[in-house]
Amino acid sequence: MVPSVKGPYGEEGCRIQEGGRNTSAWWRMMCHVREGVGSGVGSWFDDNIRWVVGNGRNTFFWTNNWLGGAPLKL
Amino acid sequence: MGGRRKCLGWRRRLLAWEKDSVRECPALLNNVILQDNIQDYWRWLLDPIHDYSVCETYCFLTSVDEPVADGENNNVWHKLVPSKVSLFAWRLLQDRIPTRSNLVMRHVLQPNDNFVLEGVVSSRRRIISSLVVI
Repeated sequence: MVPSVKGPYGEEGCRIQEGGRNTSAWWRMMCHVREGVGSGVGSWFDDNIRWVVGNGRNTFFWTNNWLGGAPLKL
Repeated sequence: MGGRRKCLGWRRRLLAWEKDSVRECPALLNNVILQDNIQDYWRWLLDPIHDYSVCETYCFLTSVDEPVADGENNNVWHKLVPSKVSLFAWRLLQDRIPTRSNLVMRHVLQPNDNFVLEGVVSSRRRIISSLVVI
């Protein structure tokens, strides 16, 4: 989930992509960690990670996913 | 933040709650001060200085998880208790019953699915509270 780790399906809005239905089960599970699958403590990963804006060059107001998992643009 | 400043207008008249959001938005963004010499980055709140580590995260997850007392485990596997009852109790303590919340968490159901599934309970808490009644 660090920007340098983009995963096999790339990033969108600074979040790694899960890929389609043919993705390996292992990779899907990795992505589901974000939603807290199987841990029993809610979305522990998302709750403990924050995007900190420095110079703003990799931050995109409309297309990044902020709260609620969807970008602000329609 | 990304892109050039443009003169923007609204395509339609805003609803009352949308106007509130428009007012609230600049207030939220006021705290953001761009610093040219610092790159944007992810901060791991559990350890902002050393950053993410598997070890620290493991400690966090294992300490937060609801601890199941040893006594409870021993009672579950008592030889006088029928195995199907033991199995149910064990799955309940591990929160491995296919309740609605578990099915949503494992992406079998969508959170907004409203249909009623026969025999599917909403959550482990519901089962435990009904057991108390029995």
